[in-house]
Formats: sequence, C-alpha cells, structure tokens
Amino acid sequence: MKRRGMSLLEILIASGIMIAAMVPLWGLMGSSHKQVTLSADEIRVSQLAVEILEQIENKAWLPLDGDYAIVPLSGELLSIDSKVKVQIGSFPEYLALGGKINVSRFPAGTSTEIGKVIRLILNYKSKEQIGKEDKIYELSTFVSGY
Amino acid sequence: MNKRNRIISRGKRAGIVLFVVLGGIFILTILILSYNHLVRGKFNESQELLKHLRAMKCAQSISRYIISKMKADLIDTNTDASSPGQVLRTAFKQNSESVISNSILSDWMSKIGLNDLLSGLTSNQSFVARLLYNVDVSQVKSLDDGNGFYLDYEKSGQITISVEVEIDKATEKWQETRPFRVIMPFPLPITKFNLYLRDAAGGDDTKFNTVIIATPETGKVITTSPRPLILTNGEPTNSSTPEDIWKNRGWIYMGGSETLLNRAGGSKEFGQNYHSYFPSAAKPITLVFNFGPWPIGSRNVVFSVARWGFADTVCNGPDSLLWQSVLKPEFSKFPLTAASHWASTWLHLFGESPQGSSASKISHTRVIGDVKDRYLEVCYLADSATKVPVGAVRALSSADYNTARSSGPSIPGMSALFVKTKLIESDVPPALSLQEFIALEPLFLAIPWLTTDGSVCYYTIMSKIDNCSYSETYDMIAQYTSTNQKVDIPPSAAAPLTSDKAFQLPIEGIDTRNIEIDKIAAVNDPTLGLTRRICYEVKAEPAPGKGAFEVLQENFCYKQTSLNLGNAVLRVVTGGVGMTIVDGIGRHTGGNIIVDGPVTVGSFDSSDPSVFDPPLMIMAEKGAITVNNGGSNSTLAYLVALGNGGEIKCSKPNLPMNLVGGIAAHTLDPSKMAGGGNLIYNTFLDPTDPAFTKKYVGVVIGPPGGNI
Repeated sequence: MKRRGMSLLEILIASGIMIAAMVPLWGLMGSSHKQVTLSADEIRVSQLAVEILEQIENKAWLPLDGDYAIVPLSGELLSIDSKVKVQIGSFPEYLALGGKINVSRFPAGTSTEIGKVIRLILNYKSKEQIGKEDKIYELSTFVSGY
Repeated sequence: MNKRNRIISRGKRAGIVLFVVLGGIFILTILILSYNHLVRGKFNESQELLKHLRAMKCAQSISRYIISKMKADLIDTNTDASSPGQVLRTAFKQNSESVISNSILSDWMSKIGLNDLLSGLTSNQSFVARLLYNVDVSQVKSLDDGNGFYLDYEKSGQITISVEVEIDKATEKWQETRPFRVIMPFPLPITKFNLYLRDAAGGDDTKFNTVIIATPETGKVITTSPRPLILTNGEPTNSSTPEDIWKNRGWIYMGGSETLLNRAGGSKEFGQNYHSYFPSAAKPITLVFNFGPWPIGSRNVVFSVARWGFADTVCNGPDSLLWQSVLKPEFSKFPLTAASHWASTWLHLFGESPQGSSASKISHTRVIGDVKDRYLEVCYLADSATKVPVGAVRALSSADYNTARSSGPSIPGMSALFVKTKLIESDVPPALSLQEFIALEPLFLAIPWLTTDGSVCYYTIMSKIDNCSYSETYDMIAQYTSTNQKVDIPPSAAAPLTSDKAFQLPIEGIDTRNIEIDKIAAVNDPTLGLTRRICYEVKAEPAPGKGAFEVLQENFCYKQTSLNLGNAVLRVVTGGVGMTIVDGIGRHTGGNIIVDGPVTVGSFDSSDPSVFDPPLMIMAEKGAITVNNGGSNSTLAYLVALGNGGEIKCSKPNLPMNLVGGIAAHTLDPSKMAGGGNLIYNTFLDPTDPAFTKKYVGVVIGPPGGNI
C-alpha cells in the first residue's frame, strides 16, 4: 500500500513540476508567437508605406507644407489632397491603418526650394494588440521639384 | 528471493515517472527555447530588413536631392563666386575628370546640406544614421570633332553620384549615373553683333534710310513713311543722347552709351578698344587702339570728345540745305564758317571720358550716303581748305606720346592714310571747348603692323574702304560684307571681352584671327552649328504648330508662363509647321529654342526684373520669325532666321518693333517695319564674355541611363 502511494505521489509531483515548467514555457511560446505576428504586421505596414511613398515620388507630389491626414483602405485608391491619388495594396482589416503625411520644404530657410521631405506616419493595430495602443511606423522620402 | 527482487525492481522504477517528466520538460524547454531563439532571430532579421529598407530609402532620397540640387544650381543666375551655381559651373568648365569630381565634391557637395537632409529623413527615430557620399566623373569627351567651332569647355560626359547610408549598422549604397553636357547656347560670332544680315543689300541702297520728311523746315516725318530701326549697342541712351532726334530722321543710330558699335567699346576708366579703318583699296587695314593701361604707347590715351563732323555731302551736296534744316540744332551749335567747316566724313563714335565729368557724351553715328567709314574713326576734324585739323584728342601725355612714337618703326606709305597735317592746339573752335590738343600724326606713323604682343598696331581686316554706299555700310554693321564673307579680326577686337579689365586677355578657347563663318558652320546651316549642341528635342504630337508650344509650356516653363530652358538648347520638331509662342510669355531662365519651321513670337510680359537677363534666343530653321509688336513691352530675345527666305517681320508693320537682343536674318525688309523701332544689343548674349560663361553656359544633366 505504501509503495503504491509513493507512485501516486511521484505522479502528482511530476505533474506539478510539469505544470510549473510549462507555464513559463507556454508564456515564452506565446511571446515568440506575438513577436512573429508583430514583425509580420510591421513588415506589411512597411511594404504599404513604401508603396505609398513610391507612388508619391513618381507623381512628383509637391504640396504645401503641413500635415495631410490619411486613412488607407485595403485595395482602394487613397486620395491625399484631392490632387494626388495612390493605390493601396491589400492588407488585413485588423491593421486598421490611419495616419498622416507630413510635408516640409527642403532646404528649409533658403530662397530656393529644391523639393519636399515627405514623412509618412502610419498608425496601425497589430493582431496581437487589439484594443491596445496603436503601433506607429514612419518612413520618409525626398520628392524633387526639378 | 522473488519478493526481494520485486522490491528491488519496484525500487528501480521509482522516480522513472519523475525522470521521464523532467526529461520531457527538458526536451520541451530546449525545443521551445530553440523555437524562441529562431523567432527572435527572425524578428531581428526582419528588423534588420526594415533598417536596410530605411537606409535604402534615405540613400535614394539623398541621391535624388543631389541631382535636383545640381540642376537647380546650374540655372541659378547668382554671379557671386561663392554661390553654389557659380561653384558648380566653374567645376564643370574644367576638362579633367578628376578635377571636376574633386571640385564638385569639395566645393559644392559639402555645402548643400546633405547631413541636414539625412536628419530630416530620420527624424523621430532612435537609431543612429551615418552618411558617406562620392562623385565620379567619367567619359569626358570634347564636343569638338573637327567639324565645327567649339569652345574648349564644351563637352559631354557622365557623372556618378554615390550615396551610402548606414542605419544601426545596416548599410545601403545607392549609385546614380547621369550624362551631362556643357554647351554654349548661342552661336559665335553672330551674337557679338546686334544685327547680322546674310543678304542685306538686296539691290536697295536706301534700305532703312527711307524716311520721308514733310518739309525741310520742319524736318517732321510723314507718318506713313517707313522709319528705320534704331540700333543701339550697349546701354540705353541718356538725356544727352536723345534717340528721338535720330529716329525721325532716317538714320540708323549706333551709339548708345559707353559701349559702342561693333562691340569695340570698353567702358569707363579702362578706355575704349577702337577700330579704325583707313582707305587703301589694296590693303584695307584697321588700327586697333586699345586705351587700356597695358600696351606700350597706349597708356593714358583717352579719346574724350565726341563731336559732329559734317560730311561734305551735307555741307556742299545737292541736299545741303535740307541737311542744314534737318540738323539745325547741330549747325547752330557748331556753325560753318569760311575758315573752317568740318570736312570729316567719318563716323564719330567717341565714348565719354571718365576723366572729366564735363566730357562730352558719345556722338551718334550717321549712316548716310558717302560715308567713308563704318566704325570709329580717329576723332579728326579738319578744315576743308587748309586741312588743318581742329580737333580733338587730348590727354595723351608727352611721355606716353614719346614712348608710343619710339615703339615701332615708321611704316612706309602710312602717312598717306592720314591727313598730312598735325593736330594742333591752336585754332580750336571755341564751341569745342577742348584743351590739351596734341599732335598725333607721328604717333600714328610710329605704330607698327601686325604685332601680336598686345601693343597698339595696325591689323588687316576685311573692311572695305573708301566711300561706301549705304548698303555696304549697312552690311558692315555685322562686320560682314556681301563680297567678302571672311571675318578676320584680331582676337581682342573680334570678340572683345566686355569686362573692363579683360581687353587684352585671349578669348577662351578661340582664336578669332581667322574666323570664317563658313568654317564655323556650313553655309546652309541656319543654326550656325547649334544643332550639334541640342540638349532636348521636343516633338509636337499629335497637333503640330501651336501644340508645340503647349508641349513647351508643360515641360520647359516655370508656372506655365515663363520659359525655363535652363540655358539649354532645345529643338522643337513640328514637321515644318512652325510654332507660335503665346502672348505674355516671360523668361525664368535663358537658353535657345530652335524650331524647324517659322515662328511667331508673342508679346513678352512686363514682370521681368531686367530686359537683359536672362538671355534668350529663338531660331527658325526655315521661314520667318514674326514678332507680335503690338504690345507695350519689348521683345526680349535674339531672333535668328538664316535659312533661305528667313526674315524678321512684324505682325503690325506700322507700329514700332522694339527688340532687346539682336537679329540675324537672311534678309530684312524695312518696308515690313515701317513703324521703325529700337534694336538694343544685349551683351548677356555674348558667349565670349566671362560674365556670360559664369552665368549662362549651359550645363545640362540628362536622364538616368540616357544620353544627352
């Protein structure tokens, strides 16, 4: 009887150890998965940012300095300031993209403006962070006036 | 035994579960850690990827900015030596690849704010960004293929911009190669003159001198009478040279201010560089005077006074009464007397002397029949009876005179070229109010032939001599006769540098001693070699004609209203239909438009800060250029129509045509310009002027991977 009880105890202890070990390991796995998702989302958003900026470069968009709010929708045309439209690639809805384009002349403070520094600031939600604070991705380019 | 064995056996199995579980946990931990490590690696890799992406975007942007800034600076008209455009243009005018690269890198690229741009592109980011850049110029090749006339800095080549951006150890390099061309946008030597006609005479000696005066007493012009163009070389006239006097009298006015006819004039304290032609049918010569401080014998020589000399035909000819009526103010001011009337039949184009505020201003050039000379003559007024000269040279010190006299041997026969008397200091008509007259004949006799050391000398030239008809004189306006099309002019005279101190400097890359227009370009080339300098070709499609200008407006205009050629040469292809430049156009930057057909030039806008700057040329390869002369603003361009049938016309012949620039045409019919007008030379069109090359030499950066 006593020996059988010890076997049970072994199992109980083993289970306890197993549970105690698995909890952080599971957390570690979750964290890894989260990083994979975050990274994938950031890459997708960066791709979208590059697409938007390249279209702006090709259209040589040279608006007045300031901020231009944007709400890109998956697979649709994005009208920035009623003069320029860019095609947005498809992206998962959970990203809920938004943001702005900041335009500033360069060089600043000189009489001759060579072009504009266009800063694209995209706010998005990651699949892993729904309901939490938005992530921000920023990418800039220079659009020439010559 | 069996019982003991069972106990031992059971004892052996004790802890196996724990062992298995712990082993499993260990293996699972290893697997999960491995997975986590892999995921972290992938995450880091993706972050690295994003950094590379960001670095590449920065490098591309900076490269784009460098090219754009280069283009912008190359059309900058700032003449400050330290301005970016000036620095860049100076660099591109070098002919060594390494010198161009190093100059651009050290003098220009280091000052255009590249690190500021990098900061702007990476603002709000936590990573560290670093920038490296380089310039490499290669394949530099002179445009001179032996078949044309090029300045030594005209060339083509390739420029490669390298930009390397490092963001948190993620490095990306971007290279961009562009072709470039350095060209002179205006053709030599035509743009040295404000009027050049290939077939000026056309059998009509009177040409522009067809003004009809109502009565000799009033001297007023019949309103319907064709009136002449007023040719002005140099700055606008001032109150002492009222153009209106001459406008209405059928004369071509070639005076102006300190810059004289044939561009021989310098200005101000450095004196004048004069040509003077002397009558000898066998050996036409010119006396090149340079009154700068350099040549021996010329120091301090200042011809300071301009006075009228009335031609014999004016005084004694069949129309002398008419002339005396027409020139009543002049005859009143300088009355003819029995003792002396001014027998000079030369044109007098004396500049003002800077040495005396009371010195007279430039005189006007009269182009009438029986003029003996086209250009400046020594101011030499002689009594017709005694041949005693009565004026007018001064300010030659005795020391300088003696120096000049001893500087060369006497030239046999030269004395025949001058009035055989000396200028004297006495018997000067009071009206002249001259002082310090000095005999000059020995000086002239002592001046040597054909020296190349920069001293004052006589020099052969294509000038015709003796009495010239009006049309011959007219031809010579462009130093180009109908019978002798060789331009053979000493360098400093052929293309006198307009900057005061540069009179004696060799013209950059040119020896104009034997410039023949036919060698500059083929006789049938209406663009005088400019086709080889074309940087862009604009095709009007689908609608030719007016559509061509719309294409220009879209691509080569600033705000669609001002031509922005960037000092380049453009050819507009219209299939021979031609192009209409709309009214109200302006010039943001200068350059040259060559159209393959006739051109209509609309009125210019009035917003230009300067009528001279920037210089613009419009060429019609075939047909005429018609100027819309109805507007209130001058046409601000040099017009070239040298093809067969090429002429310059007005849309409204009875209204004046006012042009700032110049004309080079096959023919010019004055009856089509009955309203007269002004033709003012724009010195900014002079490609041999260092001021021009500083500001307006065309340096054009081509498209990536393309040719230019």
